Amino acid sequence: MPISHTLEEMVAKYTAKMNATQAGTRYGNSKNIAVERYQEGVYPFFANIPRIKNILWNNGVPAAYQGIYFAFVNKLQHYGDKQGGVTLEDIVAALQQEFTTLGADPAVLSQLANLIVG
Amino acid sequence: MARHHRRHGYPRSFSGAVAKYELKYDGTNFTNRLTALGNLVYQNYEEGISNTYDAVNIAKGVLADLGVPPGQWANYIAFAEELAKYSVKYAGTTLQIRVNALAQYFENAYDANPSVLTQIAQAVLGVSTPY
Repeated sequence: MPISHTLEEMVAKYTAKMNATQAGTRYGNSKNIAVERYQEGVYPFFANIPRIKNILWNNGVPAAYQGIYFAFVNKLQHYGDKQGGVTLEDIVAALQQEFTTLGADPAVLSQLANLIVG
Repeated sequence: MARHHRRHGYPRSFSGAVAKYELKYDGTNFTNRLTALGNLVYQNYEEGISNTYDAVNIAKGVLADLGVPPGQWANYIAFAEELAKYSVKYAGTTLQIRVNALAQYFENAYDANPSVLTQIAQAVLGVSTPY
C-alpha cells in the first residue's frame, strides 16, 4: 500500500506548524473571523439545549442518561445544517438506529428528531 | 464582570459562552500556552495521531485488496478513523456494541457495503460486526 505521508513526516510538519510564536500570531490574526464563526456556528447547538431538556424531562430520562441524547441532537444539528431531502432522512434514520443500539430509547430519539429536523 | 442570565437547567447563556470564547481566543495567550507546554504538544500529537494513521493505512490496504473504487474510499476511511478513536476509548463487549452501531450507521446513512465494513473492523480492531 503506497503511503502518501509517513507518520514521521506528519509529526515534522505539525511540529513546524505549531511553533508557539507562529501559532499565536495565526490565532491573533484570525480572531475576529473566529469569534464571528463561533457565534454563528455554535448558536443553533446552544439554542437546542432547553428544547431537548424539556423532552428529556417530560419523558423522565434520568439525568445520568441524558448525555447520549445530547450527542444525538448535536449530530442531528450538524447534519441538518449540511444535508437535506432524502439524504438527510437516511442519515437521521441511521442515527436513530445507531443510538438505539447504543442504548437510547427509540421513542425519545424520534421525538428529538422531529424537533430538530422535522 | 457582567453576570449572565441563567435559566433553570441551562448552565450558561449564549452571550456568556461567546464572551468566554472571545477572551480565550487570544494570540498572545496561545503563544504562552504552547511555549509552556513545550515538547509535550508534539509528543501528544505523535501519540494521538499514530493510531489514526495506522487505522487509515490498514483500511486502505483492505480497500485495495477488495477492489473498492477510489471514489468510494473516503466513506470507509471515515469509518476507520472512527474505529481508531473507539480503540483507545472502549474494549470488550462495549467496543463490540460501539462498532456494531457504527457499522449500522455507515451502512444505512451512506450505503456502505457491510462486508467491507466488517473486514475493515476486523483488520483494524480484530472486532467483527454482526453481518
